[in-house]
Amino acid sequence: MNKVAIRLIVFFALIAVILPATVFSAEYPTKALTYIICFNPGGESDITARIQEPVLKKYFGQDVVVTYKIGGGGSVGWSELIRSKPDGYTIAGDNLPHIILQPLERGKAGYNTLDLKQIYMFESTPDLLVVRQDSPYKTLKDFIDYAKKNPPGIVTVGGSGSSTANDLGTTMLNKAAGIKLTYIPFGGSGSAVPALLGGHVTALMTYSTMGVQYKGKFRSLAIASEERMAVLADVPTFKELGYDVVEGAYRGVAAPPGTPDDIVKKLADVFDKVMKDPAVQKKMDENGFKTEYMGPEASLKLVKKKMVEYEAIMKELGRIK
Amino acid sequence: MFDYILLGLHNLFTIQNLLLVLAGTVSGMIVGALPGLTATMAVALLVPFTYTMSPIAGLVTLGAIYMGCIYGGAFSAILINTPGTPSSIGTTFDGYPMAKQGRGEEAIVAATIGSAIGGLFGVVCLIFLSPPLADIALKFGPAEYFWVGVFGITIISSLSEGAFLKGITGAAFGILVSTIGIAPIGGDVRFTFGSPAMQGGVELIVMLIGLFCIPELLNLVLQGEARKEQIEYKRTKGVLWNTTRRIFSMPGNLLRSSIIGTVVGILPGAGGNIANLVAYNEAKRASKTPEKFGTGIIDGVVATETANNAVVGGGMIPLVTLGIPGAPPDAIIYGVLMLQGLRPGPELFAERADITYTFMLAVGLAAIVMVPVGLYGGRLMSRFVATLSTRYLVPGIAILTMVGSYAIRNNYLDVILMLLFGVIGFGLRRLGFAAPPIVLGLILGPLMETGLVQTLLTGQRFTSPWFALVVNPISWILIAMSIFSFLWPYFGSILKWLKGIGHSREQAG
Amino acid sequence: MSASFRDRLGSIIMLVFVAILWGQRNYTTPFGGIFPDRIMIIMTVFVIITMILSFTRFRVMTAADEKEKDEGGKRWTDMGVVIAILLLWVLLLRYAGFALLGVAGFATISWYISGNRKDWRMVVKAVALGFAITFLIVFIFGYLLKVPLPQGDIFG
Repeated sequence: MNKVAIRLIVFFALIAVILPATVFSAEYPTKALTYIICFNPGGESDITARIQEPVLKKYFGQDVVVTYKIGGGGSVGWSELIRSKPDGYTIAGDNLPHIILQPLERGKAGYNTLDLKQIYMFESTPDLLVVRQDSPYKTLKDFIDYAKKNPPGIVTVGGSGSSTANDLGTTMLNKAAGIKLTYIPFGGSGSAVPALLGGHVTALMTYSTMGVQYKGKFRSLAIASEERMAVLADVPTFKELGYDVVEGAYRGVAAPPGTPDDIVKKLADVFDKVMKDPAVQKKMDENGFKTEYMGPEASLKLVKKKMVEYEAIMKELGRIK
Repeated sequence: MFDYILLGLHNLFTIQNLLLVLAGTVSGMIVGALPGLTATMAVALLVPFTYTMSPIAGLVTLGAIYMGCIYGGAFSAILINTPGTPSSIGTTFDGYPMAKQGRGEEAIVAATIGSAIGGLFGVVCLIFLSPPLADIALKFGPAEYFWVGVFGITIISSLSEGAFLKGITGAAFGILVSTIGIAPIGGDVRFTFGSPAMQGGVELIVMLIGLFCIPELLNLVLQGEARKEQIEYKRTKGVLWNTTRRIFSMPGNLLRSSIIGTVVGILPGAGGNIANLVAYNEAKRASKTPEKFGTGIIDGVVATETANNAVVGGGMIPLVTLGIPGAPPDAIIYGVLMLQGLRPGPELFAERADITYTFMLAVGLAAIVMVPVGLYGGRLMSRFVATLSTRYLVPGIAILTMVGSYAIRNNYLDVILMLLFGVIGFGLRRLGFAAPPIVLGLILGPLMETGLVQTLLTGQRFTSPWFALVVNPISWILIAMSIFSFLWPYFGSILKWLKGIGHSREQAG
Repeated sequence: MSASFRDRLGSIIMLVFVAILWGQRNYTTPFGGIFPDRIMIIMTVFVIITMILSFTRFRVMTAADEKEKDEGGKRWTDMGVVIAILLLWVLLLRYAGFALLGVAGFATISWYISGNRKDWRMVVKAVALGFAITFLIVFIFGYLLKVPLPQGDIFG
């Protein structure tokens, strides 16, 4: 090898070694934000992140890198998060009720609910009970009557995952209506759809987003929110129909424990601006998401409130001791 | 419909879009060739770049990357016995032996032509046959998915040629490893040895690199300079023309593999990863010289590569008709579609036909573009790797394994697991447990378990929940196929045995 | 290693594996065990059959046997050293990061198996190439594609 080549190689080599070490301490943020998504691509968390991403870059000031850490219904990503550096450059999307139910039901989920430092809760998707457009059940009453008449196990309800809002919503409906629906967990909201379309399950307890997306193919029987959603205006709430079932998933972002409060506040402000951006709002509404605007304190309050609620419900339903 | 196709062509053939297809295909090929980087990752990584592009341009790029990536996996499968993407596992069976015999160029030509044909076939089905094919996909419920998994496992019986017991044990080993982590149904935390880090289980890519790449790397070290004598790179003329002629003289293989790829692609969640193996198995069965499979026969490479590229088109069928991704990269494309406000369904084909048809045609174009790029670059690469000295090849591969196994989940543990399984895999291979059945078990384990448990849940209305497994007609077909596929390698002996009985009856009575 | 020895050793190793997993059984829901338990039982059955057959004339390994003979290879110490280097490499990855270990690992392996270790020119070539390759990968993956590479605790 001739001298020039060697010099060139040494030159590049120096750069290769120096580069990783050049992080000058300056105003936050100085480098890219890693936004971890703990669920499959194409799912609700992913779509939300993709809606946020371009606007997020603008308000954050640096690049945003979306990465996936899938597994365990989110627990893999969250266990990783709590062990990441609390420097404000790594955040992960987090979901209620998952982050509460998983440690509760599993014992050792790899993280504790309160380890996740809440930054912002930006959306919620209430549970939605749907059947196929051509099914014989036109209203919730039809469905519940059918379930009452038949032995347990006949009526199957698919949903996304175990220990999720879908799962809990089904159990709550069972209790409120005195019926026994069999819940069939699927890998994600998307995987449950072909099962319903192909007639392999009777109904789905899924999220509002699916009801919007498959409007032509699904008939929504009831929604588990306090009030009707604008985009699904003709779907009655469980409450109106006399069943006290209010359940759904909240989604937000969280940081590793120990992240300085002022950095958390800065991130919260960024997300606040993102969620109030008209383009983002429009897409969220169109897709069936209910936008929320909860900053760090409000989110933490919500989590704590839900922790108490869920523990009581789970004990009552016999799912934990 | 033909108006739409013309419209799509018109949109596609702009300078910008053509360049994007070229750039996308080439990038996809490079990423695919690197073990550990999957098509899903490639597509996911490039999504942010598409935000600044128009919807058509963005989708065109992603589609081209996807197609190129699946093809690219063949390169490392052939040259270093490591599938660049899991969909090229089967290509190592015959591709690598061919490379060791100095016929690497031939293998790459075969992979290129096969991929192009398969890719085109899948896209044609996508354009013309989406609605009916999507309906078939819907008929597959949890029970059917379980039997699809079982069918996949029976392929082992033919892959193992005589070492069946070890093959099935290897598959069981793979299945058990796949259960490590959180159960797909119920969320049990299983076999994590108390460590929360193991909750994520063992990632397929990590095991793939470990089981295929590391033993090969260690073998290279073992052979040392002796390897040089083995590979005499034969610079033969007319390889391209002869190989192409040979491939087209076997249209049956091409057609059958394309169909298999498309059909497997349509089943959401079945995973295109098994398409190449099923196609390999079928090609072996239909061949007049099945014993040559595994020693370096072109038919093997053609079968696997044709099938895995057909999955690209096939997987998009449920995506555009129902909004259900047929394969993981489709899920990402689905996200992009949603972002652009493009709802999957009939409206995608009618109101937004301009975008949809352009996108589908772009994927098809990518399949064609792959040919000149692959033939030129691929053959250069094969010459390069074949003549590269071990002392550079070994550390080069080693460094790539580090990147690949880390990149999938940004997890240091994965890199350690990769090496661990690599050394274990080396040992197991010496004891007679080959890698493919183990990997097959790892891929099919979750599929089988999810299908089984879901079926048992739905089966509560029967006296025994297990009955639900045999209720559907499609289940019966799959069960029959599984039994058939399992017994196939033994047909010869079974027939002889039956004839033997007949003879002794004649003699006796 | 004779074929029957291989069968027996393989069977024992697989049995140990199943035993370890069986000991780790700790299912909290009714679903968790349905599948793995049955697979473990099936696997044990097959392994026992293999074990029994290894004492008879039946040879469980056929074609794979031949392939091993062809591949040959005698440099066991070299292989052992390479495994050790790789092990160090992956274990230190978290602390030293990819860039540093890429250069070091590449150079070390390349130099070690090169056959002429005494030659200082070989050392230079190995290190230089290590730098070049590592830089290329860091550039393409780290910067162009933004694939995260192991940073290493030292570099933060």
